[in-house]
Amino acid sequence: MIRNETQQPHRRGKIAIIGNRRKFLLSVGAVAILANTSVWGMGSDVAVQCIYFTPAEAVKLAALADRIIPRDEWPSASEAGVVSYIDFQLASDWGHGQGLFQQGPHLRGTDQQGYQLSHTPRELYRLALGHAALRGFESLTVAEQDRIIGECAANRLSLGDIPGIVFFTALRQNVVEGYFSDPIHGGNLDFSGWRMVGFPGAHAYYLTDVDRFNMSYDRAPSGVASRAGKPAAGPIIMRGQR
Amino acid sequence: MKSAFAAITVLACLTAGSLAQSTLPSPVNQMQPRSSPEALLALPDTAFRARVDRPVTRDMYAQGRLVAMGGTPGGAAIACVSCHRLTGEGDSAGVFPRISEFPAWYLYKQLGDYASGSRPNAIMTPIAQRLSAQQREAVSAYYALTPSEVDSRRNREIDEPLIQWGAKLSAIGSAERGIPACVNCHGPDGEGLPPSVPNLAGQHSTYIVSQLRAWKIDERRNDPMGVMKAIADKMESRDMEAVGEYFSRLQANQKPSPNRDRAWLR
Amino acid sequence: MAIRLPRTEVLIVGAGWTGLTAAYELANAGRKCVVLERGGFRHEVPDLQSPEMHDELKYGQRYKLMMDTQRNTLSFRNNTSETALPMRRLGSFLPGEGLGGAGVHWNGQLWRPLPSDLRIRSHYTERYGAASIPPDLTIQDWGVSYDELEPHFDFFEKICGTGGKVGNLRGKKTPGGNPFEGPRSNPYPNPPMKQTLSMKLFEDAARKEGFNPFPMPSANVTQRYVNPYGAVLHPCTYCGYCERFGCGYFAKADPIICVYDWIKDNPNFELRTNATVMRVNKAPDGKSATGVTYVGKDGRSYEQPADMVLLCAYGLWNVHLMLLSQIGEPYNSETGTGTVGRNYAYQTLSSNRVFFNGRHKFNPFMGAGALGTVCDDMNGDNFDHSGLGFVGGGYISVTQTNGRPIENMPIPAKTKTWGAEFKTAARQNYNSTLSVSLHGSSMTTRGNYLDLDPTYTDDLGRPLLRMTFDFPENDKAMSKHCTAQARRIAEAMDGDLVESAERATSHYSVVPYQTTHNTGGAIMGIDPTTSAVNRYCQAWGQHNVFVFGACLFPQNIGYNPTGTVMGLAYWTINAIKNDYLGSPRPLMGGAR
Repeated sequence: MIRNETQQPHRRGKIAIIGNRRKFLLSVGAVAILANTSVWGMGSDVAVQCIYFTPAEAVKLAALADRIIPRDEWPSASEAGVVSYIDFQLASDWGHGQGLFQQGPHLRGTDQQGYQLSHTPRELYRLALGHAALRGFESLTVAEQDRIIGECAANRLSLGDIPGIVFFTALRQNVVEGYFSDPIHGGNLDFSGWRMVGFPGAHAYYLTDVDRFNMSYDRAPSGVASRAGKPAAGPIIMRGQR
Repeated sequence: MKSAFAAITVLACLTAGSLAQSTLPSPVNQMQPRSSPEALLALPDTAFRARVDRPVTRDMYAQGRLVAMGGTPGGAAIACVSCHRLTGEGDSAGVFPRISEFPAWYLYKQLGDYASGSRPNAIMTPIAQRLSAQQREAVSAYYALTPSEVDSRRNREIDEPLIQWGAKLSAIGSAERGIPACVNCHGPDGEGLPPSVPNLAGQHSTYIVSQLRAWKIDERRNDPMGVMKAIADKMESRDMEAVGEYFSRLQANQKPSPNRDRAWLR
Repeated sequence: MAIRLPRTEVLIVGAGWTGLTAAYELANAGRKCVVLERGGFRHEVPDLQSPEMHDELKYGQRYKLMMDTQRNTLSFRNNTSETALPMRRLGSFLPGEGLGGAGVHWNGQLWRPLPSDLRIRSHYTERYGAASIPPDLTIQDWGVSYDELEPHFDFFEKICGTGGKVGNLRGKKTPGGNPFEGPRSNPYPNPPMKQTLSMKLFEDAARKEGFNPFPMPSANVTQRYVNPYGAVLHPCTYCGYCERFGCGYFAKADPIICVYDWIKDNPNFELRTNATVMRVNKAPDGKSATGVTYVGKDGRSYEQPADMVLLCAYGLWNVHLMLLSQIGEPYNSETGTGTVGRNYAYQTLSSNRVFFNGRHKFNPFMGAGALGTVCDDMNGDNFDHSGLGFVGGGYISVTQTNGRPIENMPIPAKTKTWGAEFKTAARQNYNSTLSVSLHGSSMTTRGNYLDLDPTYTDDLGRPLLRMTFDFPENDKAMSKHCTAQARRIAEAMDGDLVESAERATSHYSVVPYQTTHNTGGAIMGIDPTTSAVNRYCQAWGQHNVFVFGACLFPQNIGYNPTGTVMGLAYWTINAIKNDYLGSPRPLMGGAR
């Protein structure tokens, strides 16, 4: 795990490299093109440029995200850019509490009353990832990692004042978002999430197809700002918007 | 420190979109941009574009090429190539549209519509009527798999406000006219949306204008549920010319296109 | 100190379906109308165009077209023994904000109520005896009949270019339509939507089980169409971005293209956006309104005097404004007295998922908001309620609205929601799963109501609206019975697995999305002690205040509300134009 400041003035951020086999760093590029192949069996490292997360947080989040969506013949969450995605989300207005009613008092409510903590999403992640219960998470065995996530999901574990289920729900939701949202948001690299299920994306006209029963609709996906074969430059686009 | 630098390099490659220049396995780099039909058909997206109802085979492609050249028994009275050229680039006079890399399903449907008269056309109707369903499918697949160069238009006079207006209609439509954006349906930058929406990028301006007029005056009536009629009705001559000028100048094959990029990387 | 503005004749709060329609009709009748909209201006071009609109994260998950809960929300509790806490994020329902309101991001499922729905207490009493209605229910007749509303339903269906198949044309049953519907004066203006494989499987299974399937009435327009105001609507492209999104194709009827574009240049019409109405001001004697006070775009306070005030905000916020302005007496759940806030209701939903395990390709991303096939056999009182112990019902349907992958990733209930198991199940089931759903009615009880929160305030310092709601026993029984019927159809579809899930088996939660069908709180009726407004939707106590929206529903029907909302809107506008304006007064006696 290495960290450094980038050399590019307009892309001031931190870099975390997840994993330890540098020669496979480049397989990220291959992944973007050959998502259908078994390249995933090789084990790949992922370079992530972070705006909000520290490298240690990014590494831990990658480990968590990769248990929510692990690698099989399709990329894992972090390989599909989910760590970048969550990082951008937390750096954005949403991370700062956009759409979140933050007035106190923050009382403990029922499940039916929904989220009642005072933390914005970025605070929630920082507190949870920094909590002792997740110390060294990335170095645990997969079975141990799954056990901890399972404890959170069952709400048998709390991360400080954050009930395990609250963190799990946020994590699972954000991982799924990053895996399946438009690549302009930084995840779903090379549309791997969309390819996996067969979702064609943003360009949509099905007037002549909708009543063709059992049609094999294999069009390669296209996104709001990019199309198949063009790996999305999520970080740059996101920065342009901010 | 060295490792960090490597990571930066990777990022730079990633974000610049120039993956192929990094260290992909050598066969990828040796692949020529102009791929064979077989190589193109190995790509799911291209295979989808070229398919009418069933997968395109090598034989079907070959038959389509023959039909295009007028070389099949009972085939077209006039070879496709005499107007649309072997590459499907058509004729910039605009009577003969560019059809290269068009979705095969769309081409197939047009041939059927010419034959049945729902898209009446003095030249195309008799040609389409002479072709069997199988021949129509084959020739559609052939042109779907055939790229062509967009001929140079750089010497043409440019009416900047007109092109600006065309670009605006293409990208966001018009609130005043109640026109939706062209790219809502015609795919990224008008590259077409298989199976049913034709390419606009690189299409001859005069052809685009003539078709919009044909819809407006009810001469062409084969668009599903009147979708183009509804749009053309709201367009005035200048709007039609604007989108025609704009799309004809989109150099489809000089832009990154799904087909070519992937073919090249393979 | 509020800045006093020149007087207008009609002041309209909210620029959605009801507000813009009222403005259209009254401006064309020669009245000066000012419309105040708390959200911003937006229009099909450029704001709703794709591909930018087709961003599931931005619009489908972050709700960019909806109200901003960072500034204003409501508080919620299941019952009065709990402390209501703010709904800190949108979840269960998604009220709109901005020009067009929630009408921009609706699905377009356009229904009328059943004739018996509008006289529910009388109907059940006549057919089954008064004892058939569970005693805890506070359901009541609407005070207006289907026949009175029919021309208005008909007109709004034309405004939307609605596609569908008529089932009852002027009393004559017609095959292929809904055999249970009330008589229509005209067929639908457009043909129904296309049929998907999922709809076909449902239709066949429903027929086999003895149900009467028909195409869902749709405001996703099926062919080129010109509405009575002049709007040219385009055919739907089945793009799969309908609810939660705006339609860039001019294909989903919405208040902007159907109404706003055709009134915006009328000199009698003025729209002010980013204008939040703080309260309705009353005359010293309290018997009429004098206008409103609002906070404008510049953050300053304005007083806008007006001859009449039309409350056309989303139903919940109409009730909020009435409570803040003391229009009518607030409801007291302990004594059961008062009317404003009374009879809040929702919708009772359930589903029966059918998994085909890869045996079909439904291509769920090819969809439209109102693309579906429906059976009305279990709705309203279309089936015999003898001895069932509940009132109401719902329609059973298969819809193919979208395949947006964050929102729609069906996996069997026993499958873990994360990890390898989830991932495998997601790709296995994404393209081969459908849901046979029940869209059930919601009956009212004394304990389900709206009032003002004692603790929490919005960004302008006003108390939040407080919602107290849980599923009544009646609706739990209805859900159980009707879901079992829906399951019969699901099981006849030859799937590998059928899984039923009912919302009303446990407490209502504001977290998971259910539907944006919040009703009641400012209900209509003919008795001022049990309704907030009279049968013309005129406030009992302030004759120049008229109320619009689903807040008027005395209880909720088994249908989506927009058709009923707009039928009532045209009914009210008609009464204003043809009766009230000539002689402003209470249109019914009995004002307190």
